[in-house]
Amino acid sequence: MQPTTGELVQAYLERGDEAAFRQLVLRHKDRIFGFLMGMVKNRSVANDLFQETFLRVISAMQSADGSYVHDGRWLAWVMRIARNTTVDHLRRQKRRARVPDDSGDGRPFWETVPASEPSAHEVLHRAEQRAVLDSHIQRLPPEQREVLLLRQETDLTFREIAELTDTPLNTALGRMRYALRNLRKMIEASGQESVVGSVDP
Amino acid sequence: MDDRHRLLQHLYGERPLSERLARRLDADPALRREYEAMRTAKAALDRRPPSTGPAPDAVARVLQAARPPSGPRPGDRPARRSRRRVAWRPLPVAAGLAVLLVAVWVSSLVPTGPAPAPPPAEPVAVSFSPAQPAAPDRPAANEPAVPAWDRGAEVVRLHRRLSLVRSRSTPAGWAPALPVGPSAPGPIGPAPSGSAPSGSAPSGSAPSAPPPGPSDPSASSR
Repeated sequence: MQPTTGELVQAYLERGDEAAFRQLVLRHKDRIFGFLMGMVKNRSVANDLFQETFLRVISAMQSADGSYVHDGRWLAWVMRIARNTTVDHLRRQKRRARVPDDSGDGRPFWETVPASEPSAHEVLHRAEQRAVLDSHIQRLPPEQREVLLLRQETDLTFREIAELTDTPLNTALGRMRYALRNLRKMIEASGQESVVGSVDP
Repeated sequence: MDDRHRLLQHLYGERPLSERLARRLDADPALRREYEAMRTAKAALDRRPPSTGPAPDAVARVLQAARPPSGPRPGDRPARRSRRRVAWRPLPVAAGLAVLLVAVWVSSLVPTGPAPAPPPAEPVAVSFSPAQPAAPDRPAANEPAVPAWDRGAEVVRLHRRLSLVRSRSTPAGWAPALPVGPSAPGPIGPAPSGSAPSGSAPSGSAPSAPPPGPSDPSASSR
């Protein structure tokens, strides 16, 4: 039987058990990276943010006055740090770009930046599906995209997402509802409903 | 809370579908359409292939940084150095043991009787006259010989120099002191012309005046 996330966190906090921390990272790295990748759409940047996130996590867990409170919600706490790290990065990037936030066609600047993912014509069918969906997700408003990625990639509950984003639960739910509705519209508009596949009744 | 939000939570498995909500879903076509749209979009997201994880080196750096602060951090110092420290740690102990063993072995070879005292060095006459050449750095004839077990050229040279210095510092080897002051038996300066070849003045007589020089006017007028 595998130890729970809480047990692994406790082992690292109390005994400095590196193996426990290693298990934590290996268990959750794909979720965290999936969120980061969805937010920045750049593998290199996502890797940097992944490291920066965990450096903050480690620093907070190792220091006596760190921000981590062992209440069994380690992943939500890590995702808050990942989100803050991403927001910091996007703000820095925005300041560096020195371009207006609106590109003229109504879309924010960051949504006009082409994704660094390979073209859908160059990859296999599953990768094509992912690229299509990713491009749709990138066109969502940032707050909707954030909630959608947190829910889909990291499997946090809506209540945890609301706490993480400092918003009421209804706001988080409303953003997710609009995200799904907009995503559905974009899939229909692009004529690529094959990505949806068959839905169980 | 809005029923659409409840349906969303139900869609993600966070809330069971209550009978009241199920009845409303059947009775309200707009709510039904929205629910279907959300379910279709979620199905598309669920079918989306998972993204590849972070780069292995990024994970490795994270795991390296996770070492407890008390432990050694290879990133803070060269790894080779820490390895060398561990490997050479027993060296001082081994060296100390080796020296101890050699000392015991040597002491077992040396006879236990009292060592013969070296004979006193003969005094060597020292002259500071520039005419005489300086005494060569040679040992006295009876100086203690260099031990047979250490005949290195540098050791022999140092040994001879030490013997020479030791012999020069012996008071018996010093030259007799020269008389200084009024109690001296005779003049220190050169003897006057016309005096006895022995150079010794009669005792009790006053010292003769020096002969007048050619530049003395009183002498020329007499």
